[in-house]
Amino acid sequence: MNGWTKFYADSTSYMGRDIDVYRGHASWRKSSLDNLVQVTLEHEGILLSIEGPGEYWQSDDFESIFPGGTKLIRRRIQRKIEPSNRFYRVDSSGYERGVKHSVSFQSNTSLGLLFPIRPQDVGKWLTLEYDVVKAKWHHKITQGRL
Amino acid sequence: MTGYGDSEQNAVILPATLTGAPSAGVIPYGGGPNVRFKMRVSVPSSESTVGVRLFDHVAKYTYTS
Repeated sequence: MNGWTKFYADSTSYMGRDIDVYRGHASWRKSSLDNLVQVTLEHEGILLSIEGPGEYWQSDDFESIFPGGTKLIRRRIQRKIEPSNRFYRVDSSGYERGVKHSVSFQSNTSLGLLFPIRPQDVGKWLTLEYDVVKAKWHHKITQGRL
Repeated sequence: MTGYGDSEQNAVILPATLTGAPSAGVIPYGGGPNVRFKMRVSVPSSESTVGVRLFDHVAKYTYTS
């Protein structure tokens, strides 16, 4: 089930499966962007997840060659870094269709793979990105949403 | 489209805005936009690197549904 899912503070969710987005039945921008607590992105057995209340964004990169068609090359989810975020933690585990990589924000040191957030990173975007061509994922902090 | 090459850097001055698209449109998810940029640069015979260069470009874009 390729696509993204928004999870809200009231325990509801909104799913943007690729097939629904393709048909115009689901939209990231047209569904609520408020009160989000988690966003996931699934692609071919890789599940990326960012957890924590805040501002989120999702985008895909395409490459178009004429003639030759258009190819999906990268997918990502992002969350804006807030002043209270001191570290982010990366966890990887199995799920029913593959491997899940999740990021959660921490205010204090805790067990797990921790990455520090510098004061100058506040307002930037923590980005989880999946390279469809290389079948690899990575995390990074970017200046703005993409 | 015309420009003038700089003899040291081979820079070619091109217009900041390119026109020619018949209309603005919306690219659906996964859609293949019918976009093609072609550029042809002719080096004058008075230059030592005379010839014609043809460039094809790949359009890369970020999509949020």
